[in-house]
Amino acid sequence: MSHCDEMTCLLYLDGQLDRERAVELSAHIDTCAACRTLLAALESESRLLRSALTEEEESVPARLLEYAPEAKAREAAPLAWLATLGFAGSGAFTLWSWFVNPSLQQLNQAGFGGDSFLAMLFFGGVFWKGWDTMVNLTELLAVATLVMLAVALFRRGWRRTTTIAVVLGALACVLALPPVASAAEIRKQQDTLVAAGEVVKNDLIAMGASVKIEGTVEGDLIVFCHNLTVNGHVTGDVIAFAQIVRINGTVDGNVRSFSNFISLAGPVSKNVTAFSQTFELASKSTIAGSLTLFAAMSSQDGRVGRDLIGFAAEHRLDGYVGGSALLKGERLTIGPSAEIIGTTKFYGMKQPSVSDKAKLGSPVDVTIEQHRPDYASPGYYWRQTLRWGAAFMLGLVVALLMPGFLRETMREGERFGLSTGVGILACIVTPVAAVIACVTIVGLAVGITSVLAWITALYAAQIFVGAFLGQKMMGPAATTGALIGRMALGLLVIRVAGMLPYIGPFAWAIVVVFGLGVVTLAIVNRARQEVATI
Amino acid sequence: MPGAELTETIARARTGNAEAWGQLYQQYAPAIFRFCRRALPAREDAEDATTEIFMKVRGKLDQYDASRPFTAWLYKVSANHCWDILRRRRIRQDLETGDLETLPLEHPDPGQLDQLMEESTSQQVRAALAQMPARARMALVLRYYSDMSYDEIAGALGVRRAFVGVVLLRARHQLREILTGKSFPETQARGAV
Repeated sequence: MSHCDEMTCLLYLDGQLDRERAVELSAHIDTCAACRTLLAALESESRLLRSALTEEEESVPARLLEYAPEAKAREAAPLAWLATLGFAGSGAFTLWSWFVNPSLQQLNQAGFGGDSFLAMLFFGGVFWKGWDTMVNLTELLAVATLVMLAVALFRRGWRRTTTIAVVLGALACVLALPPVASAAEIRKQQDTLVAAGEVVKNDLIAMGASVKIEGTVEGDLIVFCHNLTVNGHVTGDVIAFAQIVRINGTVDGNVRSFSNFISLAGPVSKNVTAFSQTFELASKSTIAGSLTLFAAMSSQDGRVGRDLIGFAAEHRLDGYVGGSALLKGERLTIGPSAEIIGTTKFYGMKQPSVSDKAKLGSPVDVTIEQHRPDYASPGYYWRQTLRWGAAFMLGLVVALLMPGFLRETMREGERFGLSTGVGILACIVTPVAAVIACVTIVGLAVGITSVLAWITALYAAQIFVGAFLGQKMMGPAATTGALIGRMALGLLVIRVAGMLPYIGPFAWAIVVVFGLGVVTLAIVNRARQEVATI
Repeated sequence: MPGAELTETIARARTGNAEAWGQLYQQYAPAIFRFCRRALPAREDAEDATTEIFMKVRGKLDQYDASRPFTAWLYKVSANHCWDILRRRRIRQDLETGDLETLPLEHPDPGQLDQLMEESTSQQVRAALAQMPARARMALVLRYYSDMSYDEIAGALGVRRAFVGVVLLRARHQLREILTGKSFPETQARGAV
């Protein structure tokens, strides 16, 4: 036999030759090296083709995984659904009436309310005032890229109408933003000083190691620095991101401070909000509005015209409060010079020590909070049920709006180690990145948004873990309805595990970390795919 | 899905059980999508085709012969559907007509061919496949992704049984030409038929 032609070899490999010719060819290749090589080459070509075609280098689009025609129509057990929805509704109501509404009211009292939620977020739009000076081409490009990425990420999942709605919504948001005011003055140097007698007739944005205001700022003062001292006069708000903040001068607006240490010794005409390790209100200081503070230690000798809302491990109150005082923390000491016109409420670990000489509008209303949950009380289980309902409500929204994404997170859950690792990273990295974004001004909006998203994700983590657990227990869900059922079960398991003494907090920690991990991985995967298709 | 369970699920789906149908869909949609992704030029086409194929399958479930493998039947329906799409879109007739296919194929140098296969990665092969004419690509997909027999390929592509080997071999030659960087001018446009 002469050399075999390629066609015959291919047919031989594919088992298409009749027996006689196959035997003949097989005998030939035993003796002919060239034909043997050809056959081997064709075989490896087949192998290569097979692997090239069957490799799963891109994932199946979420839209396809969601699609199960008419499957949703025949969901059974309406009673179970009604009950679940009932719990979910009451859970949502509970969240609203216990948490959201009071918080909004407190925020209102603290002077945040008024115009719009957006205005509240950005402190009355003050950050937008310096917009045109701050925006340069790079920043604009960065924002545009982010928007495009966001659109690209979710483009496939959205129908055209949704996209239009989103664009219109975004437009509305832009319109809702406060109009651009006159440009702010920006000072960026090692030490910024507004000397005594100097008047800045504009908003002032100052960055540097130390910022000292001896003169007058006729507008808002926004500061990112290590050390801020205000001895002069600020006619607008003071917004400070600083290690140490000392305000001895006069502020005609609000003071909002994010700092390690803040002391107030001058008059503030509106409200004060402080996030701080240590907070001090000196005796000669007066706040005409209300004081809201989150601190480890707070000591108050000065006057607060309206309400005082405080979350601090240790409160020392020895001054005047024109409204009511609502305090939460471990310990409370009310000194002899204290005077509280309205009611005083304290939620804490220990009984407060109240001086006999203190003038209180009404006796302190004390609620001692226990470290450990009260397993004997039915109320405890009722609250847990409501919380489960609230989580389920959010889960329902997620499952109905983006079932594909939910399924993607469930697939990521199979890689437990990786998810947990990524979750731990996301837990730590996101806030750090957000702080960096905030500090570099470029991304103040981005920074605040990502912190909000991060907090939401921490809560939402249980939904994804719940769905994953439910699926592990009951097998894969064919329809979105079945998926929701599994999620409800998973959430219940998590809730019960979280109620266990000693183990509970660990269970929650794992749920949060793991959930955050799968969400991050699913988002990263989507991004990767989009980049690959672009 | 094990065989007995699959048979039972199909039987239930035939009676109009939505849950059973949902299970079948969840089980096979990824594979069918990947098939369409390989056979059709654009990802969007593959997504739409997958949906359409399953609508078709649902209507035709009664025609499925339970004694034969379900996946083979699914791939057959998919292949027909994709081939229809490609044919409807056909703009260029040249590669469909026989003139190219009657050209004799050059016998390859076994050593060189072996070396080419050694050096090529599956990623390169995928990129090359994307540049190939639709029928050649389809033939390779049917054979090496769906594992179809020559008979089934003949049915799906509408060619004579004896001709399938020629189609496959010619497809391989076209693939090699792209892999070795030889020009392939007629088909530079992705997805040309």
